[in-house]
Amino acid sequence: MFIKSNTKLFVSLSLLLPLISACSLLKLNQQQDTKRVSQVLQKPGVQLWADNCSRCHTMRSPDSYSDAQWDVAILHMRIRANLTADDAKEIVEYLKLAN
Amino acid sequence: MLVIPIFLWRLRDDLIFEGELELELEDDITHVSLEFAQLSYLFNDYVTIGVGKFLNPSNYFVERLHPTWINKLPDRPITMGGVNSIQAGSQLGLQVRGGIPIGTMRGEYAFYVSNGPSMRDDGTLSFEDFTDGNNNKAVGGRIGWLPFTGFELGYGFKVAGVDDLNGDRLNVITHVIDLNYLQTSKFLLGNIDIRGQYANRKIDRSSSPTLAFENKSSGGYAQIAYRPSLSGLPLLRDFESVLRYDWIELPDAQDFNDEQRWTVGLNYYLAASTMVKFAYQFDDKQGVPNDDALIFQVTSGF
Repeated sequence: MFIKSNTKLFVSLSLLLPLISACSLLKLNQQQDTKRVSQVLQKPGVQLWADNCSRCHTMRSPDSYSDAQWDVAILHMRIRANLTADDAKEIVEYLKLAN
Repeated sequence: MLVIPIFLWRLRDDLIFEGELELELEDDITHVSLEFAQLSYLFNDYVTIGVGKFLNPSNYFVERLHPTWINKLPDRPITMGGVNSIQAGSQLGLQVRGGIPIGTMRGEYAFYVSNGPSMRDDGTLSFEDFTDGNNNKAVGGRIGWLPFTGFELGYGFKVAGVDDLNGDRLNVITHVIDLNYLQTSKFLLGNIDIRGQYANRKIDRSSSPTLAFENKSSGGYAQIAYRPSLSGLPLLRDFESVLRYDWIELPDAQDFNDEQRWTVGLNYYLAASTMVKFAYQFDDKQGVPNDDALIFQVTSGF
């Protein structure tokens, strides 16, 4: 009887623990996502991206390119659109954080 | 049909190569041309030095707005292409450029030295400048001022010398003014995009009998586009309406015909840089009875 109860408890805990862990991880991921979104939106690069890119063309979504591709694209745009060095740096930091 | 691949190669953090080819299929023949190919070096935060064949920095439309996925109408303003083009599209030389913060405002500049244009027998200019025909370099540039977000005012110029049929040197001076205003407005439920550019070019009078006229050309364009990107109706958000007026005034001489056009357009954005354009153009050209046209274009930039 005692053994059976222990087995039930063990089985229950075995099922419950991964569930609790998964929920905790999910919550942690959600917190991290929220924190990341908050970080992204607080970057001055968001506004600079919106202000500068739309001067000539429709804006590409940050996830259109990888970090390495954004490095090249913004360097190209810094020259073509005469962006200041600081603005270009802020924009590329934002895009890499948001992609 | 056009395919225009652009190649960007970052050699170092401060060195980048950019080149663009134009592959055009016309009557079963593919024409290949090199639009630009330049190497740029970031000297410091405010100065970039470029060398090679580059888009004309004096010409805001050509340098920044001409790609078909950016240009809001299927064709270019009259003064930006063709035999009577007032300004060069690209040129071979060296340029220095950059952006400078001025408090909450921003300034930008570009100055260049390039091979100059040459004069055709009819008094028009050829901007094919791969070789320097007369050892007289063209000098030009543009200064831009961005006092607040969404607004930019620019002044560009170019000074060059060309040889006429007699071999006499004639001065060529071009002035360009451009204005750009963009705003996203909740009141207007979307984006408004206003552009304008005016160019004026004067070439010294030639002593050659066939070129003995005032060789002055001027023209430009004014354009307004509206996209209801904040509309409550999702279907409307991807449509954009455009209206452009462009004109050119050419010398009072044989074979030159002034022209003015009104173009109305409707674009549909399939994606951020992919759109379908429809436009109807009312063309009023001296000596041509009716040159109105319906133009259709599908374009994608990636």
